[in-house]
Amino acid sequence: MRLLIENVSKRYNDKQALDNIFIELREGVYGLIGPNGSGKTTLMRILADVLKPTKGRVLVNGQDKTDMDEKYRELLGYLPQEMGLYKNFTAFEFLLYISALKGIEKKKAVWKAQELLELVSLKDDAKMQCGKFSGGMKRRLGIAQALLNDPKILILDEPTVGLDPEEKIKFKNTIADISFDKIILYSTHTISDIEMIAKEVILLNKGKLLIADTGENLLAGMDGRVWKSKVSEKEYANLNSINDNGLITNISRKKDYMEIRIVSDKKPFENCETTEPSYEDMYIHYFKTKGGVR
Amino acid sequence: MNIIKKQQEHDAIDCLEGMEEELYKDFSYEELRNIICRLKESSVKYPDEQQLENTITACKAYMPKVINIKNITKDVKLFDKLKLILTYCNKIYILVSVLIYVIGFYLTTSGYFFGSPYRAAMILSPIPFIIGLSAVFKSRSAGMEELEMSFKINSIELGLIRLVLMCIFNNILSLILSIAFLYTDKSLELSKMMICWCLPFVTISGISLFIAIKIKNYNFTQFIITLWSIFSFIIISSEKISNWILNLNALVIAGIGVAGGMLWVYNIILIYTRSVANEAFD
Repeated sequence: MRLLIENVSKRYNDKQALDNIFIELREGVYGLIGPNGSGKTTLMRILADVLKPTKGRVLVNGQDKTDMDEKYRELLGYLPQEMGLYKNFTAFEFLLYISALKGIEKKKAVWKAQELLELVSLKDDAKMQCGKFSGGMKRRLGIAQALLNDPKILILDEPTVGLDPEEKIKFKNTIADISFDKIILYSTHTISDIEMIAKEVILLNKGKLLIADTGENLLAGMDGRVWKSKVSEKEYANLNSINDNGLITNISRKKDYMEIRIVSDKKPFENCETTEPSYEDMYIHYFKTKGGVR
Repeated sequence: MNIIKKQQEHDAIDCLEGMEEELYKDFSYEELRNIICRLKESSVKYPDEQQLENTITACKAYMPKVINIKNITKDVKLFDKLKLILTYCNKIYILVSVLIYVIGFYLTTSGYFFGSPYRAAMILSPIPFIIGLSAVFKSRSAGMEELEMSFKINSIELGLIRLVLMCIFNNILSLILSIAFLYTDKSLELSKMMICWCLPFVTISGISLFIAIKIKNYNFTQFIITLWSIFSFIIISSEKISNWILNLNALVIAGIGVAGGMLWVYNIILIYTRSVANEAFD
């Protein structure tokens, strides 16, 4: 399947939320990264058919999603950043209701709801009312509803918020597992969430597409730009001056010294050596203006 | 010629070296060499355009459709949507609405309240609609609107069908009440009775819907009911107002009816065109 986001723009009154975005997506996980206000949620809402773009169109295998209407929504699984639940429904009833809205046959819905409740570790709470759910449980139920119709386009906006580490790992594995025949757009602020599973990373900033490429290529572009150094507390205190040349991306305090990582086009100071770039370095490199991190 | 033959034999041996044993174990080496040499000698004529077209046409039937998905979802018809709404509708809402009409009928016929069947019809007619409005906007109040917009049967579609069903239910109740009044009191006029429930229903339901669209707060139902209660109290306490409504000329009635209808059309357009309530940037 081919999902083409063709010159999509979205304007809210006087603010340009998205500006001429052009991306082609195929099966696999796409990590959507950008700071607050970069337009991630707006882009996801447009793809989820919740918002209409001011300009441009979204094509599925060459067909405009507007023309496809409910046939397009049939392909969708969407987990918004924030969602409520019908408090009086039990988790199982909730999934059955959502199944009905997604047009899933009753028998298949029952089977699918049970399967997904087990997947998100809510099997034992299937009869509990949604109103009594904790934040993490609500999020897991949200994930389950997104997967109900075996969607071909899965849109996940900050899916792991509120999940405990074990659930996060399980969720990431599930996403990696099911991504072979789905287009998965995964928005997150937690870079490590997509590091292992994303086929490509899409970087958005101020509504514009900064870059979209494989993680390997993006990291390769950072080669020779990430530095590490061991410094004493005193030396660290005097490091303000390096902000002219680079950005500190990480500081780890050891017993006798501090280890710092710096993103810089040139060697920031003498006692530095290059190191393997990470996704966090890449994020800092693309999104932080120089001198803004320390 | 002999050189060419030698070259072909040489190529054939090269081919065999590249092949997996599984593929030629049933043939002797000589047989295989002969087959390969024969294949090398033979030539395949490049097909003409027509043949190419024919092949493509024949293959099209076996090509995947534009969107090839596992068939977990079904085609949803209007009947399925109605069934869905009725399955999940609040049974208490139906019960309360019917009860209000039954009590209203009893209080009127026994002379305890309302004063006249006309006034009763006027006051009762929009109440089931007002109570039911919260169900139309329940996805909004539950924070589910954004999610439900992405479903095959989306929240806008569902809300509009709910609205239509509520109108039908409300008007059936009013019609039954009118027939019951006309049956018990032969002095009542059918036309006046119709005006008494149609006019308030069209206008008040239109205004209520407008308020519900504009006030994105769960308490809009209470707000509308409070407004309607004040209006009802005025009708009950002042015979002049109810008499004025009953004696409106046909042109004014038609005018109010058209205005109410236009408000309804405007409301439907509002529901269709508005985006999700929360359009905050990420």
